[in-house]
Amino acid sequence: MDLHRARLSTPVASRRAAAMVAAACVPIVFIGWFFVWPLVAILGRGLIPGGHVHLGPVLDVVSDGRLRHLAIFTLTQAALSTVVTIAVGIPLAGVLARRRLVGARVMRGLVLVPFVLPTVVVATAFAALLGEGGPLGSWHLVPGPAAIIGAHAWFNLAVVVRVVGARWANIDPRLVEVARVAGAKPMRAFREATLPLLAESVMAASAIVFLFCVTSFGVVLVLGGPRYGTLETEIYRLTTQELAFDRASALVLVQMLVVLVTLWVASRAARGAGEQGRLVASRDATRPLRGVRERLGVAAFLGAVLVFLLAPIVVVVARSLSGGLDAYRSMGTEVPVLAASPASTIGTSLRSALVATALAVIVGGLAAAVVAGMGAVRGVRGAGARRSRLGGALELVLLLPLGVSAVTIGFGFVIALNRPVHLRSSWWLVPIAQATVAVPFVMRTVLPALRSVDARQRDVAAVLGARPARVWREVDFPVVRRALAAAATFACAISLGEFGATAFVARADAPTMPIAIRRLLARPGATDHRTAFALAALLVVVTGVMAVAADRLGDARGGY
Amino acid sequence: MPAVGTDVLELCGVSVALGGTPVLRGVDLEVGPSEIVGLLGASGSGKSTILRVVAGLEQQQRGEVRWSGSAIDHLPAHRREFGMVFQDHVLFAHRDVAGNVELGLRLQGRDRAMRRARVAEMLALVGLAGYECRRIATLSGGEQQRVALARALAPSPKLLLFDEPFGALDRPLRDRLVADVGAILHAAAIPAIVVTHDHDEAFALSDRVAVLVDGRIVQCAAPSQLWRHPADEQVASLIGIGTAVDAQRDGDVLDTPWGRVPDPGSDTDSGSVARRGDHVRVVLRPDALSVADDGAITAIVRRLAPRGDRTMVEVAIGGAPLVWAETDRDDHRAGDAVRLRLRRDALVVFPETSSG
Repeated sequence: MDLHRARLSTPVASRRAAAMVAAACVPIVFIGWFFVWPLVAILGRGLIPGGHVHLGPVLDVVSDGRLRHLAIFTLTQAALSTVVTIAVGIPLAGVLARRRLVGARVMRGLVLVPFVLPTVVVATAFAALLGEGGPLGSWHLVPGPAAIIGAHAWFNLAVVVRVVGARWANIDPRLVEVARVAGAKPMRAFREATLPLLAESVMAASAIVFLFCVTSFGVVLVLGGPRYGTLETEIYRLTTQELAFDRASALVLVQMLVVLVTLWVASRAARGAGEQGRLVASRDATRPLRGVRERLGVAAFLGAVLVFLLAPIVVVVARSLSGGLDAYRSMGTEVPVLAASPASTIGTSLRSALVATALAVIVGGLAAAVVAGMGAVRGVRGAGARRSRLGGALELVLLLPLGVSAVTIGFGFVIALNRPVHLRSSWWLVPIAQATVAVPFVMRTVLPALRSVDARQRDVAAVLGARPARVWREVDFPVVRRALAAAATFACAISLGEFGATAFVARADAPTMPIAIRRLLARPGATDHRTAFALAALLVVVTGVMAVAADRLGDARGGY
Repeated sequence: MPAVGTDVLELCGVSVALGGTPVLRGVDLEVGPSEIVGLLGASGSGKSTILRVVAGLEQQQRGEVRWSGSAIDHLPAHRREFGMVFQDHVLFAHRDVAGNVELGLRLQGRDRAMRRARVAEMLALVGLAGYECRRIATLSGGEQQRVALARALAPSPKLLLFDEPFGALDRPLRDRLVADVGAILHAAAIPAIVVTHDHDEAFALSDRVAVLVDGRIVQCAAPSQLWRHPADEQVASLIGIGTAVDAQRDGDVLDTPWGRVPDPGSDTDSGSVARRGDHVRVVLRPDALSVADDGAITAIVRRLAPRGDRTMVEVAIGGAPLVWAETDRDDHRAGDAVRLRLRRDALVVFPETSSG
């Protein structure tokens, strides 16, 4: 018996475990070094400045007039942005989900475009539309809260249409018909029959939009000017202009508290909101438009939405071309405010994005592989393998950066990354920061694909004579290939447009495109602005194409 | 005992616990050259775990797996040269039929011409000649199962492992495949272990059937032997004989709820030496009772169940539990009185202690 027991741990089993541990090391070291450690440093500086616990900086937000004002503005603009987004988004979601329309697909696609654009590009498009020299420049909305709220509503519309629309499309249309037959006017029928069933999705969408607006950085920085700021822009100002790291750390903590409270309230409200109600999944819930009034009303509404969606993009492209192709032709010439030529910022962005993409795909891909591998408890048959507790914990840790704003990551880099290796002045800092932002997205794209692989397919390959590495190549890779490509495209688009973290760590003489755009826009001068619009137009095209590609790659299930 | 060096698979005292729960408790099993052994058991009895241990996909805590007399526990799955066929085929949807069948050959490093020839040969063997370029999604369930079989056969495995291979198929398809697979395996002289919870399947396919209860093999015998002399009530129920009732032994006669019948046990080795007045448990095999005008038992027909080739009637014999009887007449009606004949050797008797 002892002889038998000695065989308990086979070389195969222990080698597999060793490979797993080795693979886990990469993401754990990366997240630990570039995410957890900076966060710990922020906590330390915010709560224990100078060696002992001191809540002063945190409490300043309440006592200090300026900070209190900033906090109130942050919440107010986020609330108003959410209200506007929901007010436009609900009818749009309803029309797209319940009416049979020509071009509904195109419209749904168009709604998504602003959402995938980098925040600085969104802000630039609104600056082009509403700012000085723009078609609506005479309204004098830039800098100002109206422009900020408009831009927030513009790119968050997609959230409402997707979240609420998905729910709406599944509500049994006969519920409204019952209410109508019972004598309710259309609005009344909507309130009685539809709204209660939508409530939960509306709450969820509101919470997401509110969070995006609270942590919005690029839009506020560009469209708020020096007068209007939020906690995020104040963290940036304190860090870069006043070098007041302790106060900035305290603000990060306040910001995180706001995010947590929002999430808590949203989950409480969503749980209590609305009814489950009758849902139909397969039935086509759309009906054709009826009558002249409905046709005209829907046409006018969709026309207005279409103008709203397209105007900023059209205007930013048009204004970049206002001097012919000058803005594009002169990109090789150095611009003083950039200490570089616009063309070189494109190169900087591309180089950085490529490195960031490689890092994010390696780290996120390995993390997904480890989580999926640990999730499949050995001995449990088939694809329904349970997730182990360790795998779940690792997944949570690796997804944490999703819940933290890019500004927090960038700020953490500034205060934490001079130890143990002095990275502060390294070229690598920018791509690493961008990769840190992109890793969770990579993981969320790759993990479902890996989990879709039936564990027994690996068994089949092993029994047929495939070594573990070969098993991966024969079974996992063909399925994950497309997800990896989608994740890489996604990561590249994120890195190209990344602004929040990059703003903290980019070197003054080597700005990326978003940084350059922001600097050019902060200056008066039509030529600089035109160059900014040209760079933004380029980013619109590149990130737009990448988003569509990533969506296509992600949609089609691995090679089937 | 087979001589060392022949192609024999042996499991000696194999025990496995998964997540702390014992799944196999000291399993001994032997599969001889070109022998097909069925593993029959309820779900959760550990059948599939035996397969996974043999395949090298699961590691036992105790015991040893031997091939040709030497232990193979240290060999990982990919070096054992066995083949495995899963319940729901588990084909690679991103490859066509040929791509699936040739996987093992590619892993062996065979050249393209050899692979193509072998794939064609295997597809012809399983009745799918010319299917090379078909996509997996376009195949029916039975065709997919044949592809899975061809994939397992192609690399000429030393042993084939089937995990509920026909479970997902409907009955007629299943019967045809069972017959085909048996013929293919015997023709190729490849030994196999077939895990199933279907006794008909196990009997139709296997040279011997091992019955597994709670991680232990409680009986391992040829199908006919198992059918005639199940070791206990649990085995009897697993191989589909029926449920047991109490009876009393009185000399050469059994006092059963269906009346006094001659004891078949005196010339068998199924029970211990019984004494007068012993309590026993009696099981009627499905073929035990038949309607016959000269039968000794009187019964009342309760309902009819036509079964294609013959008709079964459910009958009440006195106040005893209802039982089924065969009939070749089709004019019975509920309430009719009929006479039944009892086949003596279709009665299985267990000593009282074996119940539960």
